[in-house]
Amino acid sequence: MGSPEKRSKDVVMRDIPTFSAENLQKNLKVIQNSRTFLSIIAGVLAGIIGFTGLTGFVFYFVVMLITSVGLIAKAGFSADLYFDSWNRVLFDGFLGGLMSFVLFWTYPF
Amino acid sequence: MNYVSFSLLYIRRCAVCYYELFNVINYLPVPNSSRSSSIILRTLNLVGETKTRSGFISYTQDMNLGFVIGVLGVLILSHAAYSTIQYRGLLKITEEEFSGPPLNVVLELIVGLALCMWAALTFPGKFLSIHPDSDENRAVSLPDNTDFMIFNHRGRLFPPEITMKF
Repeated sequence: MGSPEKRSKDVVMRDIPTFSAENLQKNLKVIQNSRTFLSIIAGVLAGIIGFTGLTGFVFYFVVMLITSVGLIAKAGFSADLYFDSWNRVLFDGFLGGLMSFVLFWTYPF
Repeated sequence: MNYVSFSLLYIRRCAVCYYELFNVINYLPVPNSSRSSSIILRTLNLVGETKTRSGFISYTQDMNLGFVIGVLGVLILSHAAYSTIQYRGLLKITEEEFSGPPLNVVLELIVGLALCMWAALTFPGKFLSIHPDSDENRAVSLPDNTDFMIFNHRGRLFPPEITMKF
């Protein structure tokens, strides 16, 4: 077959789950882009509203939770179709976006 | 004719050739790997995606709309930021404390945040199914080296393992 997929021989005793790794990587890239963009927007927002200290981080986690809900809704509430585990959808870009958030929170303002 | 004019003519002829070749090549369908595919594949146009050689994938309408909405959201946010800065300057003049942005700025922020969230969920692209036997993962493109593949071996006597969907 043309598209690069993980090959597996379907042995009767064990069934190794196959999935298209290329599509999985594309999906992960989509999540990462979404989260990075939204963490930058959250940083700008926190700077405008004037959050200081712990409130800002709480705001960041709130925005990330909303993005998780949005991504799950985009995936149609079933992670099996597009990812191999739920953790990827929920917790993938949390800490990576934190740096961008802090940068855009403090630097312009 | 002398050497300089001959070399200039030669350079110009090469440039025209490369320019025309570049224009022609950009409209051919792209083969699946860096090795060149067979002419049969190209004429039958069995390559899956539509990409030009420079790698520009044609955007869907959904991504375009997401991009426009994202730009709109960013513009609204920057306008809110500008008005907040002006408000802070005003507060510095009257020497009051900055407790929060004014109400219209808060409204703008909410609208901008909603637009940006919507754009962030739609612009980066759709999720692709990872199951190999879903409808959108059908292998519609043949491998590249079909010139060397032989199909009338004894495998045709075995029952097929997968159900072929046409």
